[in-house]
Amino acid sequence: MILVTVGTERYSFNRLMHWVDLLLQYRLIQEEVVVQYGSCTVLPSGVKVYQNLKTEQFIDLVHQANFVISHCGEGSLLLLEEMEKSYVLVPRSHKFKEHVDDHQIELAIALSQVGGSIAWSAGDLVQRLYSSQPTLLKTRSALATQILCQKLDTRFSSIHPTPDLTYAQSE
Amino acid sequence: MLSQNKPTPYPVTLVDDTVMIHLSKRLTVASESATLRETFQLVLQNESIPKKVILDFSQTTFIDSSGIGVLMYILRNVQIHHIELILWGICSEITELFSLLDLDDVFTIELRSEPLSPEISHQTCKTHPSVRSRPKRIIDIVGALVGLGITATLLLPILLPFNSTIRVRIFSANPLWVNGQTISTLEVPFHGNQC
Repeated sequence: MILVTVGTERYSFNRLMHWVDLLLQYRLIQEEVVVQYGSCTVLPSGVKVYQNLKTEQFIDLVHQANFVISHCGEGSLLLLEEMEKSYVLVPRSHKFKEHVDDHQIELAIALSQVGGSIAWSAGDLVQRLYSSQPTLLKTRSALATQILCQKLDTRFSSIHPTPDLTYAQSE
Repeated sequence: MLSQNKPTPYPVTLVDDTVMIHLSKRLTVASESATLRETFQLVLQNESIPKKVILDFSQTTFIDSSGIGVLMYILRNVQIHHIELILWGICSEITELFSLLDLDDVFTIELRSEPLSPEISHQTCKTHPSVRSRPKRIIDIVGALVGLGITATLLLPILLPFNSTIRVRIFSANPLWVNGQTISTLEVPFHGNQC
């Protein structure tokens, strides 16, 4: 199941609804889709919808989902990171009257610089959905640390051999 | 659901009989056009030829004549192989270019896939309109002058009695300035004017 959530903002996020509809129409998503649509006025066809969800119900749906497509809100990001779900974030834009300002774009730019999973287009959504790369920032940072440690080890082991050196892996 | 990223120069997403090719920022003679041609050829060499090819232009903001050339090559080939070709994520600049070249009727363009550019709109950086308003600025200055005038008129009679210089001048018989020698600390004579 794929969960699409737009948060509880009073602004619509129809662009994301159009993208999800497009992916369904082109059969690029073949799983069941559940949409929490908040203030959106357009809905994808053939999906299960909820306007808003209670926290427990929402967390339960996130648990059930294989993948989460969410607006780029701080709350959603932290929740998804905490629950270790594969996700992609789509920022709301002030230009399309999806929020009061562009803080979600600012957050998305900052996240993409550290390897965060962000979709700027419907194509990105497809790419992220089928990407084998981990979407979780903490997994990525753990991997980056591991690679850095290995490189440092290779570089300096000839100078100061440390055969007993082991690295903690946070999986 | 089948998904895999093929070892092709441009990232390719394959879902059942649909192939999506994700293009780069520019599609020019430099190398990108050749890369796209190569990627497309690899897609055609696949065991099962796809029914749909989607070109994802969401990152592309510039196409030159060689890019148009490779798009025409792809168009010819999809017609031969009876593949449906759809263009996704076309930005306004490229839409304009396509309409100038009368290509908007030749290609199927998915309009609902308009991408968002990762830029912050300048609207949010603007100050409040009142800051840029000249009449408001004039009202501010005139108001401040009137306020200062009223304050000065009121404070002058209030503060005058407290001013020692004027008070001495008005209420004392002694002169304001004393001329002559006085004894300072440690009986050191001090010569000069003192208030």
